[in-house]
Amino acid sequence: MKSLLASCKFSGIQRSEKSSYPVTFEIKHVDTEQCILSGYLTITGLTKDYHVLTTFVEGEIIGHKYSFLTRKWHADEAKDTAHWSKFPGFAQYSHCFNDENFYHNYLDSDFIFMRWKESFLVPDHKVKSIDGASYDGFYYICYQKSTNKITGYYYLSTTPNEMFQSLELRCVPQRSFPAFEFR
Amino acid sequence: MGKTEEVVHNLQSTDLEVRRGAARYIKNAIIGNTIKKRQYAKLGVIKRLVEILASDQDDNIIIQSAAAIGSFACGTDENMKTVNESGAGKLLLQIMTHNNPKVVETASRSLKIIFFSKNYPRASMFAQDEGCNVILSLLQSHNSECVREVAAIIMAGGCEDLPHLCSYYFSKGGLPLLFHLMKSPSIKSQEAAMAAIAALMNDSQEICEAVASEQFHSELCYIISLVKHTSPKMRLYAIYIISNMCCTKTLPLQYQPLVKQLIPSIIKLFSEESVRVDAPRVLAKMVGFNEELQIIATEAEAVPKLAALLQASSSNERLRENVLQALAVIASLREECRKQVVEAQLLTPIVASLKSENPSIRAAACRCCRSFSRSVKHLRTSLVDAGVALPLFQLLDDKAIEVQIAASATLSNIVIDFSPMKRIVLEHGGLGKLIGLLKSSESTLRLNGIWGLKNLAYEGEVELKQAILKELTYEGLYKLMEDEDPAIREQSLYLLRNFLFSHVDQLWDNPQQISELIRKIEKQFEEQRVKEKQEILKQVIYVVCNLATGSDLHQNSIMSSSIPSHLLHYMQHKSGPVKVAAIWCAMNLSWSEGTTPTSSVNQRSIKLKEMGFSQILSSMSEDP
Repeated sequence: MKSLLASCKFSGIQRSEKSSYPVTFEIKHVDTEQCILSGYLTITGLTKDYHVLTTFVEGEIIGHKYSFLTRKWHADEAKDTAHWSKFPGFAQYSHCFNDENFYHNYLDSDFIFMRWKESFLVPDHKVKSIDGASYDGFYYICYQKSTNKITGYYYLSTTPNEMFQSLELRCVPQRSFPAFEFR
Repeated sequence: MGKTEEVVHNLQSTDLEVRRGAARYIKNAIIGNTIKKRQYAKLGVIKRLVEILASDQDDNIIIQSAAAIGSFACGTDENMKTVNESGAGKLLLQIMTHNNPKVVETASRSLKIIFFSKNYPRASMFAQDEGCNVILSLLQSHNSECVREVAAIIMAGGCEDLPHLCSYYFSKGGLPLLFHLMKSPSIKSQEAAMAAIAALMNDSQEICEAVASEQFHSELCYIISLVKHTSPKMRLYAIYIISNMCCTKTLPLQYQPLVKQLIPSIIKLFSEESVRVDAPRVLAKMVGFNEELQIIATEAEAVPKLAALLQASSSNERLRENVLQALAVIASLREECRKQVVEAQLLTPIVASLKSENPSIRAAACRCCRSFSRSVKHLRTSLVDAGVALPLFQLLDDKAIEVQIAASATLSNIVIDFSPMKRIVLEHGGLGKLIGLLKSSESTLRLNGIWGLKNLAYEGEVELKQAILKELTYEGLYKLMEDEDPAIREQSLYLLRNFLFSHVDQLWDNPQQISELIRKIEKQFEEQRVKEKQEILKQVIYVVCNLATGSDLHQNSIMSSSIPSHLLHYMQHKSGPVKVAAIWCAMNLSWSEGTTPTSSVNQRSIKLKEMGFSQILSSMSEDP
């Protein structure tokens, strides 16, 4: 899991039809047993109230615990197929991903697929809504180990056909590694 | 002289008839009568009755005295205390070997009351093996069903509090005796036997293995069938026994599929009056460390039902403790489970229980908080909202060690960088407290202390790291790196690694400090060559990796030490993570910031090449 470690940072752009904004993602914790990841997603210049807006992201790593099939957040199989297919790395699984016994072995593959859901604001988790931005949807994510890049597509059920909001992040190189462990 | 005083006087009489009459009078007078109990107790009657039990030979007076003592033990806390301290319990146990069945019956009834009274010092009854031997012989050969039942429940009660008794009873053949009692026609005896078997097997690898063995396979099969018994107690004990076998990994393969189905059964027991106090504890045992079972429990509505029990537990401390323990276990691994506990509004009563008078309740509540503190999300949300930081912090000074342990473990998580409560803890002297833990005589507390420091230093600002080093001192850190406990050595290396992340130049800024650090690192490598401990080795290499991002002075110091030769060795290690760490070191040592390497960088690169690093790197076809 080369760069999917706590304290790793990624930076790049969030693009929508008309505009693009600088974005960074900082991994806070990865739990390979529970197949979850958490981090801070920061976007700059999106809203006037929050020039720098940071949300807490909970990620599900597609593997033996979480399937490609979302089964929640108003995303049905058709939506899943449409979004996952946008990643070249998914092509090899497109015929079998909804099979009973199939699961993606992310340890063996060059690709790690995830779903990222923003849950609350950082630092103040009590803020419930922001003018000019929403985080009701979620991202379909693909991380490629060999290039250290993350690509993502945002899905929001109320604008189901808008597949234009995308994320492109590159790992910020790191040569030095801190560590923590939950006790 | 009033009647009371007269009777008390007669109790001292040398005339047996008179003494007997007085004892009988007192026994009858105090039944259900708190005032009379207090009056007689004040006049020292309890002590006198115990003397009679110890020295008098007459059956009848023994019966009267034993009954009266049992009655006193049913009364006020003060009387209970007097009875407990009088040694009556031990005496009554001896009396149970008496040849007169009426004597034995009365003694057993009073013994039961005393043994199960609040604060009875059970250890005193079993201080020498004699007490256990009496229990075993009663279980084995006594004619009276009632006596065997009492022996079994006292065995059960003793084993619960004093785990070392379990192996004693087991080694003296207690298990077959209990299996025999288990088949008694009397349901009370069956329940007593099951209670004792369950207590015996609690956390005991040895005894669980015995029960799983060929020798007892039909008894085990019978016990398994009891999960469907009509008596809730029988069901509870059967499930408890199975849980213990799961925990010790001794449950035979053919019974394992059963386990999932038992979860709803335990949860149903929450509504059975006779077992609801212990049922949550059994659930906790069953689902501990087992994610799948924790999920099944939440799907079977364990959380709302535990919430209801918690509400009803304000007068029952045992129940409260057990419910909190179950919640701590359920929330220990999965986010879905934690979510349910939060949604059931349980964090508020959990945090309130941190202030309970009862140390076992405080410890169980702490463990709940610890389960939540293992989640980034909850550290930022529900734990903050519940205001957990300060109450937990105060528990570091708790009288009870188990509370200190749970609180310090939780604190280790609360001081991580992404936890908003880190600041509050630091403002209240958290750093000093963590360092104080390092001096504890209790090894778990020491470990929690260094763990907390490691997490505290993670991604910390240089000022914080300087503050930690000021209190801990460099010598203190180096000493921990050589601690006799390998777990502490590992954590202190993690701490050093975190210090060196981003701040090498500021924290180790003069040549003497740097060469001392290099020497310490060399020593670690030397020890690893003698006896490798992979987890420690990995941390040592990451220490070098982070150190190698420092200035030329730091990097050159590494180069002129024996460290590069160790790195060369470990780049060929069988473990992937160790190799990767060593490679990072090599890369950092030859790293160039700009496109044109400086002469220092060039010199290091040349030396590394000479040593054979580039050969090894190019021979690695696999991508680290």
